[in-house]
Amino acid sequence: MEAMDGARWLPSGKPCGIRSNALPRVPALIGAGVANEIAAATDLDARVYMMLASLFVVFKRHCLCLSVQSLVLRKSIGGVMKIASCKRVCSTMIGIVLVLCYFRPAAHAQTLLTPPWLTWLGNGTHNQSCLSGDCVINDEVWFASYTLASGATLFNTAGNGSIIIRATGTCTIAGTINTSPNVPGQTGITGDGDFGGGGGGGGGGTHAGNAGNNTQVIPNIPIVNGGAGGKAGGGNGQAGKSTTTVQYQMFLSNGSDWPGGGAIGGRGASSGGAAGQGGAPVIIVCNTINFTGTINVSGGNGGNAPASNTGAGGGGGGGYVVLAAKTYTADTGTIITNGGAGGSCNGYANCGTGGSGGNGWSAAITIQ
Amino acid sequence: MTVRRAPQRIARAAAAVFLVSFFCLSVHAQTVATPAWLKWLGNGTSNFSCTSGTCALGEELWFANFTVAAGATVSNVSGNGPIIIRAKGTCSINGTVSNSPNEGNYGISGRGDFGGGGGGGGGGTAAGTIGGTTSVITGIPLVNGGRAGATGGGNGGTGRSTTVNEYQQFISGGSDWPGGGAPGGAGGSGGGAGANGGGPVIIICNTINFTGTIDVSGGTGSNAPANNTGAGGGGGGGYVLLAAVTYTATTGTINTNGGAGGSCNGNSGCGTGGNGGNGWSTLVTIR
Repeated sequence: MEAMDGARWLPSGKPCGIRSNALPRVPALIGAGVANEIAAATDLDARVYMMLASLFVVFKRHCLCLSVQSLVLRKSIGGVMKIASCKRVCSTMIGIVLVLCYFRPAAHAQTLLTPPWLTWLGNGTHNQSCLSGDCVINDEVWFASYTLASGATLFNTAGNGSIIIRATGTCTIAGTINTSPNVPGQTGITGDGDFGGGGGGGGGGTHAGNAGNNTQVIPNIPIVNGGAGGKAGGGNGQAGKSTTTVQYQMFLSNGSDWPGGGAIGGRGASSGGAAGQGGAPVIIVCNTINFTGTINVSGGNGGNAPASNTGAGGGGGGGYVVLAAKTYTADTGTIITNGGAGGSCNGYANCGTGGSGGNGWSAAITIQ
Repeated sequence: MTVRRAPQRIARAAAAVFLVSFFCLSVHAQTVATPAWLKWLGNGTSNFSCTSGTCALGEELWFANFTVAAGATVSNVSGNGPIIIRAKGTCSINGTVSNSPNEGNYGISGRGDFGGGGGGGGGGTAAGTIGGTTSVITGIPLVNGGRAGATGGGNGGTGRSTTVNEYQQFISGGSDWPGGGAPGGAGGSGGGAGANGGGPVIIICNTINFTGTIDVSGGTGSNAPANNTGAGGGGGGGYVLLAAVTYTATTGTINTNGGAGGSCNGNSGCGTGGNGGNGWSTLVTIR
């Protein structure tokens, strides 16, 4: 792109540097380096832009100089001959532009290879790294690049929300991202969640246990079912359902303006064990991802029964993890999306155990 | 002179070509000709073909190609969800795709979103139940259900049909769990059950060949079972959205009607169920 320098297209020096004995092809016109960049561009729009920008440089170098030359050399028959090569270059270039413009509508008609919400990398506003100890990201943050070093841990302390990282550069996850409510002091999902696992049912005591929550996006339309509560008289709570592929593909296609994670479990009957909370989502969308650490979005464990004639709590549904990047320099990390374990009766009589939460899921997308 | 002026003409023409091309490019770069969520065809690699009988499919599936042969039916039997098909190749629908409770499917028992409102339940000795109102966010009504039949045998009201302004929000933004139509209200005094709404059907493929039937109609309300009970309201109709780069045929039939309200069946002191509101359908050419 150094040829964008305006002096290069003035008729002084070498205004028409292309050999006249060969009809120049695109690489010859724009230079091999630029041609390679265009070929390497994965995005169609970027490729077309680069091509046209490069051709514009050639246009300035040859067509404008052609015009000036024709003025300077207008009284010379030999001048017409000298500008013949420029004319050839210019004509070729015009042809290429016309072809590009002709195919431009066809390019736009092409469909997408990646769900659009996963191609947005943010605007690179923040620069932040977590190199040691505990760090916090609540909800969504846009970075130029982000590094979570080995030994460091990233939490969401606000609860009922996700960790979403978008970066125009590289995201290095060598440490641990943990949105599981099993971490002391961390709140997971206390509501219904959306595409995570269903909550486990609470165990029965004297009375019946509470059902685990269903996940949902629209009010009263369940997506992933929670487990039934244990029956009165000490029935065990049932396990929540795990998210299926056909369910979470709807999320992958469309995204969400507030990803919800797994559902909360049901509480044990008769003032029994507490319900485990759902695991919160983790979504990382970066130009490059280097993932060698751990991401834990598991559901919370249900509380144990506190006394006889009470039930244990159901486990929370597991959350989910989505990684999306143009390039993965490593994808060898560990992802934990398990539902939380149901609580136990702890030796108490007339007690039902809590059902386990359903499992969440994870997906790694290559942005195309 | 003619020879000497030719290069100038070429240069001017070249300048004009560049100006036009960059202008066109900038226009294309700033806007989108098709909602982005309708341009994603999934990454399916396997073909699906339902050649006869009934094939159960639900939620969202990604295929290379999708075929429903004439005489075959694809149904969503699990309910409370859409049928969404994305395919990188061709979707041929010569048979039936159904997400209607009238064809043995469960339909939508929740609130639905951009489908029709549920019909109100007819009154018996007690008033019927109001038809379901669709909503996306809790507490914000979208398409209203029909009024409940009054005590003493009042008829239930018809649910409202979705308007273009309402459903264009869906076409623009999509949804991660399309909901369909709302259920009808129950008849009063232990009357007929309200019917479930019709679920959505969304088919996004590179090419669509549609000569069959897509049925997302709302369910029919149940009749009153006895004197002094009301009939159930009909479910709201669901919706159908087709999106493709190319259509080789669009001559198929789409049914988005709201379900009929139940009748009193000759019982006295009974109000009929209201009809469900109609859903909608649209066809988008991906550009």
